[in-house]
Amino acid sequence: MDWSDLKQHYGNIASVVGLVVSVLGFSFTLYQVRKSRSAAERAQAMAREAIDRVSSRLFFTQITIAVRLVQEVRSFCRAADWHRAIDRCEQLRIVLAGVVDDPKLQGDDQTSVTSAIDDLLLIIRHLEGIGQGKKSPSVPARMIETLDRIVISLTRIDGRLRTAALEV
Amino acid sequence: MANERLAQLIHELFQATVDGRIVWEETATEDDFRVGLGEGLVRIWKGSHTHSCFISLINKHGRIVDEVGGSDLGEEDYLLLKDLYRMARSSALKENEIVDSMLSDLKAGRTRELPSENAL
Repeated sequence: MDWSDLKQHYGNIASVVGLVVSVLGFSFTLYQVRKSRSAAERAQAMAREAIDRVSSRLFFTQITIAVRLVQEVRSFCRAADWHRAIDRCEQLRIVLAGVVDDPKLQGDDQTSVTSAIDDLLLIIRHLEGIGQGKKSPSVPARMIETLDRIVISLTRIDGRLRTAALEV
Repeated sequence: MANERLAQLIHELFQATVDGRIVWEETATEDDFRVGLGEGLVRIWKGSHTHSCFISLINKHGRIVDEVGGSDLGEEDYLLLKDLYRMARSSALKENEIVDSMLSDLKAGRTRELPSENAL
């Protein structure tokens, strides 16, 4: 074997080794890219889950506050404390207006929250009428029933969402 | 222009109520009736002093977007609004179902026992 044959022989071996190294290197790079992408996706999913958990908790808190406010409206009406009753109705409208856009609410839930916001406006007008001496100082049974209905629908929404959260 | 659109809405609501395509609901007050449509709701009501009919468009956050009634509308549209109020009341109180059940009892010669005053 002369020098040029030897050079060609080792040259070929070096090319093959180079190709193998390149293929291995490229595969390793692809593997690393895929690994880091799936790690990023996992991190993103975990972050999304954490956000969902926090927003669910906030939503449940808002619903609990809303139920408490309805109960306060009822008891202030019973005590003929019209100013406080109006104040709680207004707070309740704000809380409900804050949750009405929540994607956790299904079609019917959203309609019942919107109806509740509207009913509260009618109740506020009645209570203001009492405060101004334009209406007799009593709350019609229909309004109390409406408040009860609001509590029931909010509790139903809360219960359904809690059950759904437990199933996940 | 806004009134024209609302007048058209009144016409459409009237037709949909007559056809039974929409069902109105009772509200917290006796003289107001409501139906949820699109991104909000429509409430029809009677003024407590003037007894004029009004219609309010309310968005899902409870804000009144528009309101017409009484002298805001032409005579023809106002008469239609009054008819719509009557139809909405009948729909919310399920007048047709009640009348149907009464007619069916009458046809069968059946009466229902009412609870005594002591039971109430």
